[in-house]
Amino acid sequence: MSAIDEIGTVAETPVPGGQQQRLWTSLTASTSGTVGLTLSVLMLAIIVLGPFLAPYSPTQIGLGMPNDAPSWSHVFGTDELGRDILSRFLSGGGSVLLVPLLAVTLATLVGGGLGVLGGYASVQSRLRWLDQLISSVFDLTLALPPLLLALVLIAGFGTSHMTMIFAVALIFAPRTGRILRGATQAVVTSDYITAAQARGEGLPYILVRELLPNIATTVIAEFTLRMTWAVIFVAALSFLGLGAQPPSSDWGLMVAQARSFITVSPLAVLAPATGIAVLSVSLNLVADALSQHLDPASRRKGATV
Amino acid sequence: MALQDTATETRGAAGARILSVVAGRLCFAAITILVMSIVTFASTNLPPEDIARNALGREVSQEQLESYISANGLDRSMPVRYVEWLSALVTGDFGVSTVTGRNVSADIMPKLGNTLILALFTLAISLPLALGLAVYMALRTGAWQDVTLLMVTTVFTAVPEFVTGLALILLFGVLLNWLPIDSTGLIFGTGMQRVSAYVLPIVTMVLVTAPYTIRIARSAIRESLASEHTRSAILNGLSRRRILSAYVVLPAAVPIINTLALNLVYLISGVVVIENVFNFPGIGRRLVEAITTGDTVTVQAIAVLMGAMFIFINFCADLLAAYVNPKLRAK
Repeated sequence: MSAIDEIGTVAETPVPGGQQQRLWTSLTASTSGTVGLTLSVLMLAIIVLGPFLAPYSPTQIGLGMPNDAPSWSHVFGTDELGRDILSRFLSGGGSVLLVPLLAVTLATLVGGGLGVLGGYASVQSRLRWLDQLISSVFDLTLALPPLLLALVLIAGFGTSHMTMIFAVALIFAPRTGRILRGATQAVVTSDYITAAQARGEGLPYILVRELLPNIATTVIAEFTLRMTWAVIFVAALSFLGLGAQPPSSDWGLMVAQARSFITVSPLAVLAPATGIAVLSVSLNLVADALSQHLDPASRRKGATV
Repeated sequence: MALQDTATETRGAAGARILSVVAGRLCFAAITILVMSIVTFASTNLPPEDIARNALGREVSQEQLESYISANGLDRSMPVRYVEWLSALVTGDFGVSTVTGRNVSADIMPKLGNTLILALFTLAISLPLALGLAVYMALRTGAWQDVTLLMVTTVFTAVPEFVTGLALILLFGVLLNWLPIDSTGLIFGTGMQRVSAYVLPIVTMVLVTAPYTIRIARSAIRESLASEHTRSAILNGLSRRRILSAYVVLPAAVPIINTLALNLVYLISGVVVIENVFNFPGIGRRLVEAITTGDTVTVQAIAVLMGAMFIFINFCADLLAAYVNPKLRAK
């Protein structure tokens, strides 16, 4: 009960420090949030520090016999070209995290920006047409099948990280936009917005300085949630051979290439597949903890459990 | 008499309203399919020169290229070629692949059949299983069975589907050696081999689709369990069976129908990844193969076909949800 009261008072008096405090407590308050945060930090450490810890070059062919079993010199064994699986695993996490990160950032900037603009325009009688236009574009893009859309764009523009980032951003932009449009509508009639309008502030000032800080927590929760889906989506595209290309040691691609040799060296599949799974599960736990704490209704429901 | 007149009048007005809702949704679905086809054609459309070179091979003279381009009408503007391509698709003519030289519809229709078998079997197992578990969990909210199952569904929704599939292959195919590690038995095998080739892909797809249905159905059923109408049904002394079917599960139908649509949509388009995990000879695997070999004609045909199915299913789900829910119907 006290937690709900606390949320109420914080929401009424927007203090930047208060919001950060709230984000932190929402993460560490629940067991699943703590587990998610710990695993996320661990995965981040592997992905960032891994390339420096790799004992061999990830692309060096013929370091050992092909498809060799684990030994002291090759802890995870070797793959079909005699490359060291541990080194490939340690240096292959970068694109698994970076491509989704860039895609979701782009989606949040473009889609979220349009959503905030639409939410602001929806309550101004002069600008309502703008909101209707933005919303129809969102509706239409949302109705297209996501994976097919990505595959068609890749078929047309070739397999590159750029194509993948743009395709994933295009798919996620309307989804993020819709959420942030709703969040904007909820605060846009507040007195501080009216006051800023009365002072004669311009639209960019009102959106960035007055509105954005007050929907920041929603933006962060939404961003984390999209990240979990983007990681899965991008890894799947790489697994299909439509993302990273050989000789990259991207985890999705590693899984795809080792798939044919699954009976002789299962570790070559297991290591990168586990990496992807742990990354997406931990991000998911963090996103769940964030959105549950931000949404008092779902929290209250959870309290009766 | 007058009273009866007003009654028919309102019913007529309601009918007109429903009709306009249906017409609106149908219009939107048609526009979406059109947009999907435009995006597909515009992004995969190669320059005329490349199409000619793909068809004729590398060693051709400029004159040969030009005569091929004019003979096949490739020198016309893109919108003209788009309209021609679309009208051919609508009449069922998917063209001939420039890579394999085969008729595209003869190539992809049997594969579409395989995919549909996979999807229908998955749905037939996944949906009853998920709904049963959702009711079971909702009735035991907070008990250890509910908490454990909820944790399992969280993990399965967060793990990428190809990882789930590979984990099953490692367990049942490599470690225990009970089931084939891919679907080659479907093409070369006989009898039992063909049947066993379906098992792991279906189990994987059930494990991927069921958790979503379980989570949404569970919370929808919990909501109707806590509602006034359920309490009054209990107080009226109705049987447990009748309360569950008519007062608990039925009001939860709208979210469940939406999930069903989501499942179907997943089974039609998301099956792409699963088919590639198992080398399953379905339409999704053919699509990825066509993309990697630069088989534009096949990519276009499959993308529009699957896109149209996706949009049609969403359209049906929208209508069904509106039909079941009086509140949505009024809107």
